[in-house]
Amino acid sequence: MEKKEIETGVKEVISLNSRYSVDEINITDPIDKFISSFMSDRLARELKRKFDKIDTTQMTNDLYTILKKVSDIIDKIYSIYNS
Amino acid sequence: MKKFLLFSFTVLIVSFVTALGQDKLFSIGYGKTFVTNDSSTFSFTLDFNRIPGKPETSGGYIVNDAIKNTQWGYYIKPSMDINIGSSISSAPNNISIALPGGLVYDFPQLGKTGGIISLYLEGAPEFISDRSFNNMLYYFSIGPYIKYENNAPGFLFDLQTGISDANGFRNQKALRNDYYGRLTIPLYFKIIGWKAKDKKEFNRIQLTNTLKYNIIYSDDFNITKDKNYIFNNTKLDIYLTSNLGINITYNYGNEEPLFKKNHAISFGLTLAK
Repeated sequence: MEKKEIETGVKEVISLNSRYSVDEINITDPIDKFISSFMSDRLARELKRKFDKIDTTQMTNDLYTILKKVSDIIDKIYSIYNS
Repeated sequence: MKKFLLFSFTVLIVSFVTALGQDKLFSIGYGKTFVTNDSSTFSFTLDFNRIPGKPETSGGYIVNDAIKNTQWGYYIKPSMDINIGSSISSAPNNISIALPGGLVYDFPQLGKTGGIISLYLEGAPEFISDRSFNNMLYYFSIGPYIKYENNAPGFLFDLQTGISDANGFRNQKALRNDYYGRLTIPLYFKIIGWKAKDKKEFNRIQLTNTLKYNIIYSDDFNITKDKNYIFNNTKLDIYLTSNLGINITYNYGNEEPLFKKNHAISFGLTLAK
């Protein structure tokens, strides 16, 4: 899966769970600008619905800890699909 | 010696659970209890943000997954809280361990500014003890609850409510076991405002309130002389950095396992990771 395709998908998922449109989501911004970190369990499940190769449990715990920017989510999913 | 070993075991379990958890809150406070008018009480909590009838609000999942082609998901998440103070009137003085798990349904967003609703159907084996391990509750709780979250830029409102039924046993040292049955209606809300461009600019203010209405329908009624109890905990945390905050905590009511009167305020430090 191409990185641009993943970026578009991640932005769509964030947009569907936040007040922001796809065009307003900048991948260099922190995730909690768009979605509170307290909602990471839901965000992980919603990402799984878009990207079925994700290990949702690992993604959940990473969203609470090491994934800070939107680009971090994109990079993680890219590495899953291209490893 | 036995108590010391039990406490050591608890600390080990805490360490294990802490290793799994991502939002670890350690709080130590100094304050006043209004029951005895004592202004020199202390409190100590390891707070994994759990209230009976709902799962942890962050991190440390054993399982969290979506069911293919549906809005359903499922989860399992361990939890542990320790609330200890210089007296039962200054803190609940309890230790709780649970393994909540269940199903969750993620409803679509309610318009662009309407917020998000999730429905949880949860069950959990739970263990609640007083700090001396002389009075312990073992039970399985089950019930639905609903979570509403509204996330504006730099602001989150989180409201959770439902109902849970707990069935199990009360074990008291040197006494026979008693059946224990409880119905709980919890109401929990959290309001958070934050600014978190990076660690150096991190600021967060967080108000949480947990209100529980308990109906005890089976127990050793020498412990629970009344059938209905409320317990309310209000906590204001002001985070100066992402790891350090100051807090004000106010407790009122009667809490498991002893259900003795607790009415206190404390001021303290919060360490989070």
